Amino acid sequence: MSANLDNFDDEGLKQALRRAIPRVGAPEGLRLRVQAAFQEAGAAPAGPVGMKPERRGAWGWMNRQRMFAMAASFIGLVMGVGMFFALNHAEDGATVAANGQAQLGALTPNYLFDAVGWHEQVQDTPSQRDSMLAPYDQVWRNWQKQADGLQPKLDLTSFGWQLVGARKYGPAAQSAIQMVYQRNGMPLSVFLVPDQKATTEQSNSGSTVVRGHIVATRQLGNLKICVVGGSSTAAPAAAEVSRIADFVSVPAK
Amino acid sequence: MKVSENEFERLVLEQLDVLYRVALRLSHRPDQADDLVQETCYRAIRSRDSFDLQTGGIRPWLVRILRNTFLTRIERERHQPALASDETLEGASIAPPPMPRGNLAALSEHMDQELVRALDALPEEYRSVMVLWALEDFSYQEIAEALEIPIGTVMSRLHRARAKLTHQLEEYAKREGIRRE
Repeated sequence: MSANLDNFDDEGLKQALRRAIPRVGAPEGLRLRVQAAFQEAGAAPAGPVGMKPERRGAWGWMNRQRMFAMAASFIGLVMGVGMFFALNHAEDGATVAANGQAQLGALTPNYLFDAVGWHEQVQDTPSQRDSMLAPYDQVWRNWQKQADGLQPKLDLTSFGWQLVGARKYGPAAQSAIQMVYQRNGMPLSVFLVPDQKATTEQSNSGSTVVRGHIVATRQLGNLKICVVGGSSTAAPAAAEVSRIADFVSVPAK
Repeated sequence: MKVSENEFERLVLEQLDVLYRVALRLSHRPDQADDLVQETCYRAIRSRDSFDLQTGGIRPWLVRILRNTFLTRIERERHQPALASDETLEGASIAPPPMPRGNLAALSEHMDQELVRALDALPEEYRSVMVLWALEDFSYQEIAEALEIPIGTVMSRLHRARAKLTHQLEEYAKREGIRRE
């Protein structure tokens, strides 16, 4: 070890760094989002979703990790078989399956890829974003009959996301709309897709990654809701995308 | 010692400023720092059963989650084709501003900027140690717990980080004619 190690507590350097770097605090929006996360978490004890509360305490952290790993392996196996089936039977699913993505909830892989493609248009061309979008009110007014009276919660300001605009979105012959939000320059898309064949009032279809984007889908009555996050490190985390999907899929009062 | 849900929330919220500042120095970007801290808190909430107040307090535990989240993201990005962000491009094209002459306040500010630049240029393992020690007043023990390294490694990294910073500033001073060869 060097003789100079006695000198590593250099108060001068410490003070210089403190003078040079302002002592900023966490933004208020971040604080509010974290507080909201705590409030939500308070409703359910920590631990894997679906496990009975009395069992949660008995399971150690490592055991839970192993359980997750086993469940993920099983889901991966099931998804692999499903993809093989889709590859061989779906009319236009071959490209998607070849890219390694499986169906998420009631939305086909093809649809998910289209949605991500539409999201990437607004992500990759921020300077043209405004020209691609129309005011939300106008788009919603023309489209809301597709929602069959349902009003998803589309105000995401509590998450720090500001609504930028909306547009009609119609891949896979489905008449849908894309709501585009922005936070710190990063976009987030919420797609509302009518599904007349839906049978459940609300369901959780989980989340996945499509071309590096976190995608979460939910069902609200006859509406499928698909939330697409960005693909950079500035993009919202999977947990946030899922929470937004949960939030949107609860009807506004 | 296990803490109640309310106590856990209070402890985490108390450290939000620290987490944000550390995230800012790791990522260099406010939007990324914001998102990193948010994910860190989600992970902390999910893992609160594993937190024990007696094993060194919540600060090192949270910083450990934050840093692991950051490193995971960096690793994930490495495997993805990425476009250079506007800020990266701007940063690459802007040379350090010319050294002011004759004005002590401006000179001091310029040195401060150079110090920040030198800190941000340190490899992550050195920068983390320096940020926690100098800016957030972590003890060696806390740094060791946060970064999951022995205390001896904390001390040697701190020594090397300090040497690198000093060398950078000396080079800068020579370049600008403040100090002779």
